[in-house]
Amino acid sequence: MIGRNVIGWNVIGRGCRMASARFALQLSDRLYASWQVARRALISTLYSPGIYVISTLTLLAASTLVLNNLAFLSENGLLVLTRPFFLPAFVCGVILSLYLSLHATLQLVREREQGTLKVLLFGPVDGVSFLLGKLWSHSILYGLAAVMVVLWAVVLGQMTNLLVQVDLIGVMGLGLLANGGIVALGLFVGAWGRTARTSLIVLALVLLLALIAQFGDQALVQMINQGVGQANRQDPVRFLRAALDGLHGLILWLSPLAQMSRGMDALLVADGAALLWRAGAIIGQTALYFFGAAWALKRGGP
Amino acid sequence: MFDTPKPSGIMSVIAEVENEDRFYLDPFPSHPALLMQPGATPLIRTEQLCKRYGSFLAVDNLNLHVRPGEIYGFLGPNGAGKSTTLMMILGITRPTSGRVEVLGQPFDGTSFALRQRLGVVAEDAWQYDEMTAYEYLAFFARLYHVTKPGSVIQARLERLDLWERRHLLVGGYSRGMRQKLNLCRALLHDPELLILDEPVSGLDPNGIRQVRELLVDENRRGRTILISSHILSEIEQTAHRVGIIDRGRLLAEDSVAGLAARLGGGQRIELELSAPASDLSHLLVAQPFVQQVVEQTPTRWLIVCTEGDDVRPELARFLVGQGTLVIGMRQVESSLEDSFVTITNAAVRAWTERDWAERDWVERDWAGV
Repeated sequence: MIGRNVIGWNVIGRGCRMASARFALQLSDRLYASWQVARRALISTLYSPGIYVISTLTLLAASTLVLNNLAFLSENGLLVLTRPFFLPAFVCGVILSLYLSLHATLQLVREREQGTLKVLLFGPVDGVSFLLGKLWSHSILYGLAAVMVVLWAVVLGQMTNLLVQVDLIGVMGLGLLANGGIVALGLFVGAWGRTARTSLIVLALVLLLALIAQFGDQALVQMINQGVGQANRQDPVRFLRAALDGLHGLILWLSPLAQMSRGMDALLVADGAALLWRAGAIIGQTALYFFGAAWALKRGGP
Repeated sequence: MFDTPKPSGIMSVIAEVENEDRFYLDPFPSHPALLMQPGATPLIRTEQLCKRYGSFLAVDNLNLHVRPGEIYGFLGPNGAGKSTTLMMILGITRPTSGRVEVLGQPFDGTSFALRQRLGVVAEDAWQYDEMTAYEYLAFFARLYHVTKPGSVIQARLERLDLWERRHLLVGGYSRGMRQKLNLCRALLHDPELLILDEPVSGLDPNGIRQVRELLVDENRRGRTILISSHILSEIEQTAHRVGIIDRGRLLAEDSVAGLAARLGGGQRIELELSAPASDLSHLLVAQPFVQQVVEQTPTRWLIVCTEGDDVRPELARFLVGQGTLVIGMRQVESSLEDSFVTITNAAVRAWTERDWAERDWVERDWAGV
């Protein structure tokens, strides 16, 4: 009886070892394939002007915000301004993420339309490794841009005597996570969409909706506080704000950018637990969109 | 209730295949790979493979066997289900039912190890236009873990006359050059099994010859090749066996010569006549030794005669007796194209008749009610 049990456990043990070895082999194959896909996508993107144009525009926008900060300092006769690069870095992160998300969607849909995805899938690349490659390449691109933004902040800080704090790296790190989520959302839309135009329109609408819900209710709060719509309780602006509030609550759980915004609040008050919670939420959103995209790709075929 | 007549000729071939009572002829008994592996496990085996899109049955209980070391020609009219079958074999499309085995193992497209052993050329030349041919192949060489990629790429490009143009962007390549580049890509990693969908489409005659020679060479080295093509003359010259598919069903599977032999159809005689009489074809068909008359042009006719003795003297006598001036007469071999057309047309006829018979039966049944 004991002998039989031992044999049974041995068989189960060998089965488990074989299964884990196969899984490890599959994982290493998948990682290798995804790196090759990422490498190709990265080279292709770095050789095209789009990323340079958007990086320049992003830095110009951020520089304008810094100039505003300087004007605010001189107008109010202040000597110190805490975190002058916080908002510009956030804006950089948002613009870059939105661009990279559209770029990832376009790359996926184009590969599908041109049939190059099919050729990859004939070989040692599957849907997951292909999407992983796209995610990697766009994360690396964001990482490069983030380094550039930090360098820009350091140089500008030296030139203007504005304080560059270490938590700027935290903002860009949070942005890197949020970028992963937004790119995964782009891949999700691209995997469902059949044509480049449809996918881009759908993604642009989704992102616009997220941005409206995120910033729209703040604007409406300001409007209400400034006296607009104070005349009566039936004012449509109040209803609009309530609706946007609800939408914002929903989008908070769906938009990595909304989570990033909350994460930055946590950074400002140095709340480590809240920051970790927001980072975890972004990773969860990324996983949700990524596997949704993989499922759509498998279901719809190349 | 109704006596079913015993099928003959092409109908027997179709019936035989439908009953899964296929027999195979070894077309090239001298082919070493075939001789070495009698009864070896097929490198591609599909069992009762079905694919349904809504109410449309694209592939219907397909049982395909590609043996090790052979070149298998997969033929069928447009929309016959060839590409769907290939996509299912490659694990890109999931079958509605049935089973696919590739290289002796069940395959659903998830095994990276199995994919490494396949080389695939798809019908459309899909490439990254912004890359040069060399970069394109280098990318795939890395993907397939090719050792010494530089020398392998050079050898492959030189074989198909693309080495000189290796630094040109693929976007500037002609369709034929793209197709050659696809072949180079499929052969980079020395795959055991090559699956080619229309490999010579878009190629000029020299290119077609080059590809044909390449495929024959690769096959001599033991590589198994499945070719799906519309260019029947190419299949005829390269394939050891062919499978003909229509409406998702495998209608026939044999060697080219085997198919012609099994189809029967007798001798084929091509006639060149000077101003034949309008009723001559009717008179010819009435002759006991004539089965069919095909007027290819007003003066060039193909006469399908009964099997057996040479009927040319008898035919000549008849024509002279009718006062027809015969300019030329020659016996022609039955080609793969003839077999293809005969088999697919007969199948369509059979299905149409069956459909009508079924409809007729249903109508009678309703009338009875």
